[in-house]
Amino acid sequence: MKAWLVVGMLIIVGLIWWYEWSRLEREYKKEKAAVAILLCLAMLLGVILMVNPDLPGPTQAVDRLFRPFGKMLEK
Amino acid sequence: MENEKITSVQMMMLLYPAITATAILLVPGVTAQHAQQDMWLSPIWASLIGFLTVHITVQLYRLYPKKTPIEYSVDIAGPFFGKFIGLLLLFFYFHVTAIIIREYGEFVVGNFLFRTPIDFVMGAMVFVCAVAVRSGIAVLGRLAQILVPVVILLLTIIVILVFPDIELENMFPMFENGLLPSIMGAATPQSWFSECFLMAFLLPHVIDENHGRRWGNIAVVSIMLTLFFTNLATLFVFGNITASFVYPVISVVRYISIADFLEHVEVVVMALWVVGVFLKISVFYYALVTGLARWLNLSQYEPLVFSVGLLLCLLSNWSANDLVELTHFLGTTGSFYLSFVQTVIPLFLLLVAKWRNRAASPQPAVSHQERK
Repeated sequence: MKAWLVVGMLIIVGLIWWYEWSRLEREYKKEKAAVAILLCLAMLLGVILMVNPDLPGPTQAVDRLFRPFGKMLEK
Repeated sequence: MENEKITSVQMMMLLYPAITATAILLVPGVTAQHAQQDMWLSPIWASLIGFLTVHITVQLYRLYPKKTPIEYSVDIAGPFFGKFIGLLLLFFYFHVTAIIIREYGEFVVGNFLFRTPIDFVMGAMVFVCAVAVRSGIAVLGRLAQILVPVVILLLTIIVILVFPDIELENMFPMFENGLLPSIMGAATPQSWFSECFLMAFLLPHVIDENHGRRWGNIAVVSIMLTLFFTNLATLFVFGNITASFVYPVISVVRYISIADFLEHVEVVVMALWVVGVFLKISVFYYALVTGLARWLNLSQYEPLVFSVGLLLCLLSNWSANDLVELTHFLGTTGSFYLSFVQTVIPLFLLLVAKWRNRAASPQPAVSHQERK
């Protein structure tokens, strides 16, 4: 099951990469690098979330940061 | 960056769904928890934050014309802190766009498409929005111009259809515990109003920028009226049990039944909401992608759209475990988070910019007067 998810992610990443690569001219090096880094980040995040779906995310971090204020609205 | 233009009316029509679309989903229930029968007053308090945010955004734009927050934060706070503030804004919009996508997915799966996997619902929406964002701001503006009047018309029809079921005594006793409950109830809607800061990403493309302030304020007023009327309608129908619904407005619409003939109106509402949320996600997505391209000093933003979309899908999965956690977050800490980033940080930037302009040569002040 998880292996199939990884394969699916790889296919999506490959499709996006192929689509953007075929459209960008050779001189747009920075753009290509940015797309590559974003896709790597997505792949990394995808694999991490598949291994450990209950990992505390950004919402939990913000929740901890603003908890003193948030307590005012607890019911 | 591309030089496509929109009019200030189109800007207002992009701002309207960018706030209303999800503000009539979860927010009335959260408002009712605090304000009970005074919940109709809360949007009016909340709109004050909207006017303040529009004022701050327009003032900053006057000082730094043709620039977005990503660029003028560097001008104001210096290269290091400016880039840091820009990164903070980008992280914020990543997170908030993911939360909006999740809200949409939970709404559709929880109310209509019970057996569809939520990832598919969210992924399809992100793909449609990605195509729209890739087409540029002019296309988004025209889309809003076509779709928003329909959304407003349908909302008005729904409020009129609720009329036979209203019970005016649900409103009383008015101000039983003073004004404080209604102000507490405004805490969550005010964070939605702080999203007016998205104006800052649209203003550089507005062709008649002198009217930006007027149409920004008109957007705030129309959003306030929409929330006022929907809150009033839910209160008149459900009274004090409004707080126990997750989506009070959809429950009110389910309640509509005229002469055993006109029923099941929520199907219309779903169409309306999908359109509204589509525009909302597109505006946030556009701000995020163009902001990211500007932060990295890229010459075009289009190549980033699909890869950012993939990240958004993953992040929306990650942003909460379930709807209860999401609602609790948006009702408590999230309210402060949204208005801190979108109102307090711009206010801080504006104060520093004014102080720097006063300390430096009077040249910026001259250009400021010329713009008037």
